[in-house]
Amino acid sequence: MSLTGEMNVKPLSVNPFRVSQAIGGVLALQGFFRSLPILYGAHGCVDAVGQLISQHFREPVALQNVAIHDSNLIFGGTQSSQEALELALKQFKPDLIALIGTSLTEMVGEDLESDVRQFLSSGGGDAETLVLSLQLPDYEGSLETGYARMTEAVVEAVIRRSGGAARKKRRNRVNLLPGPHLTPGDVMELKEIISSFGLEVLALPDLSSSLCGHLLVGSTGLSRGGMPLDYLDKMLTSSCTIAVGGSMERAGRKIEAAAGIPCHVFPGLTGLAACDEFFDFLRRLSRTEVQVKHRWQRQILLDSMLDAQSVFRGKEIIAALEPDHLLSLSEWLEEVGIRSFRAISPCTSPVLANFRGECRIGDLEDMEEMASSGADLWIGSSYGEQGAQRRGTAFLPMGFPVLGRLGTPLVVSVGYGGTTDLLGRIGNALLQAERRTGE
Amino acid sequence: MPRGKNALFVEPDCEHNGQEKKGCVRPGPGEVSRGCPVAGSLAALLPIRDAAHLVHGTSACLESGWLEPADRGHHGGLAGYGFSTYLNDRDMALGGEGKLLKAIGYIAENYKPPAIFVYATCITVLSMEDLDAVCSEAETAWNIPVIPVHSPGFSGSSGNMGRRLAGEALMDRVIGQGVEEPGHPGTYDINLIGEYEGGEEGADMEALLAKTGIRVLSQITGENSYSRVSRAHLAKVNMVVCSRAMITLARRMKDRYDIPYFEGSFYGEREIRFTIRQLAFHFGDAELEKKLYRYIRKEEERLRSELANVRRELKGKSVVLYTDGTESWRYLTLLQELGLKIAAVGTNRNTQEDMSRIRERLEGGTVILNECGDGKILQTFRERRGDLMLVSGRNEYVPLKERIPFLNLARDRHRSYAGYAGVRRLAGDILDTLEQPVWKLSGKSAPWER
Repeated sequence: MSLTGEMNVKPLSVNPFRVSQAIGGVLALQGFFRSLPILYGAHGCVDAVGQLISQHFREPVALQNVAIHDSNLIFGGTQSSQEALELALKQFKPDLIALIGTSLTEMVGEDLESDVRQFLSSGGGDAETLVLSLQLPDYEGSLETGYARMTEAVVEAVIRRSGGAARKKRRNRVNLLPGPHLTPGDVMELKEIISSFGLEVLALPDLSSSLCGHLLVGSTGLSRGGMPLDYLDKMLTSSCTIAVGGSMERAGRKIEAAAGIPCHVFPGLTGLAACDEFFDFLRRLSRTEVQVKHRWQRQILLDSMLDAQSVFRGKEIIAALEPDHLLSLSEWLEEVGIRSFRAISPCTSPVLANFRGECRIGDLEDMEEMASSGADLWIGSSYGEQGAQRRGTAFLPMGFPVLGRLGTPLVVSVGYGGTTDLLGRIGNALLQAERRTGE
Repeated sequence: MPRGKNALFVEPDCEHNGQEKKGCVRPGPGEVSRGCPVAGSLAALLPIRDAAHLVHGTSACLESGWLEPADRGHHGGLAGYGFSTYLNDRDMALGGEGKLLKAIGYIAENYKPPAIFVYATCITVLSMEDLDAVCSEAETAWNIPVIPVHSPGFSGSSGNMGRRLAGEALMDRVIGQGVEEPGHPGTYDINLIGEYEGGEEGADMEALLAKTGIRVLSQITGENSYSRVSRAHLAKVNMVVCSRAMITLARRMKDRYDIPYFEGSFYGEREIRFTIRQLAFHFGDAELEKKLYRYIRKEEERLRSELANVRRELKGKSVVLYTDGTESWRYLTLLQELGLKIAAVGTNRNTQEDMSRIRERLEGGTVILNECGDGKILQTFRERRGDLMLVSGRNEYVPLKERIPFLNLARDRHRSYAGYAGVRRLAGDILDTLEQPVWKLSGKSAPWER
């Protein structure tokens, strides 16, 4: 892989598609039950974060704010943050609150950690509620890093609260750390696959029961589902941790260090080879055989790959996605035998060293350049749809945000079944593009 | 400027100008979030589709304003491009002025727009960057208008403030620069100034006016081009549509170019009638007046016969509004004309002006809830036995999660409710919504739950 064309060559970004870290942090918290992110920035920031997540998932989002006003910049915002924490506790009684800092709080030097400490020591909050703080400025990282860092912060807080006492391990319990490139549908599928081996799964964060769309809790200001906090403690008694996506590794290692639970990282669970490895891992872990359903799904996938080989043959695909998503996709695309896969990532990540193809850090202007040099399909978030149209390249929405479409959160691309689905979606997009150019 | 008062809060043409200036109320923490002024400015100016819009800030600043307006547009020229200086921690510490100048140059050389708008953000204000100096330097270097827009996030607590500041930038730097298109002298030229739902609504209004012989010279915040806006001062009359966010612009145009303005709306028969009468009055042309009145009469008769059935179906149905901004009052007249009973209006982030407009338009028997909250509106809906909730934006999920019939007036719509065609569309949409089978189905429990 070649990492060329660093962002600072250009003095600006034209049609950027990087999603800010704060969105990742807010998203991760939606996967913990009865939690409430409090964004600490100018009020407009909060509005944008909430709207974007809401529009992608077509779900309401739990989110509050500490609005920075010009007076806060001079006198400090400690009082505002105290008020916000108090109000949130009184009004919603959440189980988990996270105070999320932005570039603005970073710049004026707000100390979020001390704000939380002060709040707790002044008798605010009760012992039940977990209150934490995290700086997620938008000048670095992306959705992926924000999501991973928030998960880490929650894991750390749970470890801290558990007091570090050694606990008896349960052989049939596993932790699942799904990265943000997995949809709620993906997470649900992984939970089912792992459970099919007779294992108990603790997914954290668990978007599959929160942002999948359900009517169980009515209208509420807190997150609508996800991993309950009292259940979260049990993660320290699992026999192993499965992290999906390199970005989630650090949280897994934290659990490993605290409780001696081994962590296994799978870059992605899309594709025959990746799934074979995963199912074999589960087989050995649980000492249980793979169920008939999944054996059938593997057969079906193989057959679909034979059906599709002529469709994928010689194709050139380009993608603008976050690093983990790109790596997972590149491994699978290599398997289906396309001619080339080129990609743009919004930020650097160590996982890109394993990328199979050509990958650069950049924006959608770079992506359009790639498209004009010849591409059969453009994969990426809705930010790229117009650019793909301008270049006359077929477009398949993936990643975040995907707007103006139904069912995005439920799309599955993991496991043998999910891979078959993805093969169909991408294959059909390629076929449709062929028909269009043939006309 | 009066001592101790911020000039931005002095607007002689606003009815509450005499009150003590509070400015934008300091937002309480935890409260419902309000829009960002940068996003407001972008919403107002992105419709100038051939110009480039460069946000000078960190990555999230563009994120908040770019996608939605860009999404609506046609995909030609610079429409839908987002430019950002994408400041990183190094720029924040050392200053981003040099980067900004290079960024402007990059756009000028590679995209050749007729003008570049540059938006200040919280970060660049905090690091005390001299946006004006950089812009004027760039202007000489590349010989195109580079227009600074000063509406950083903490300059106000709503998108409205951003729209208003965008208006200031237009007044100071754009309007008055253009000249008449050769061969296109118009007798009845007006500008539409204000907030409406982008292209579709604007096109509907233009079409309606075109039928009466009135030409829209420029839509300020609607589908537009730089040269059209720069010619806006050649209009004979300004019409402020819906939002008063840009009333200062209209007032300043009156002061500087002697162009009278009035406020009007195109939502509902009565409002259209009022608007057309205002136009007739301002042009003071007997021939035009006759034509306009004939047009209203014809359209109203047509509407009466076409909507008779729909009105019968809707009569007496009770609706509750849970909306913010102009959606809170824009449709009230129209809804009542359709025979709907407005049981309650709930709102969380409306201005004083919006509130008085709500009151003006109601016939009585309506509960008005300011600073309403989700729980309160649900309770009111049930108490007043509502049939339908009309919502805007993210309020949509409040009725959705409670399985209450609802129609979102603002999001995902891509359909205009303006003009006579709009009356038909909204009436149809309300009727279709009420008849959706899902309201009944979602109320039933599963067989194993019974």
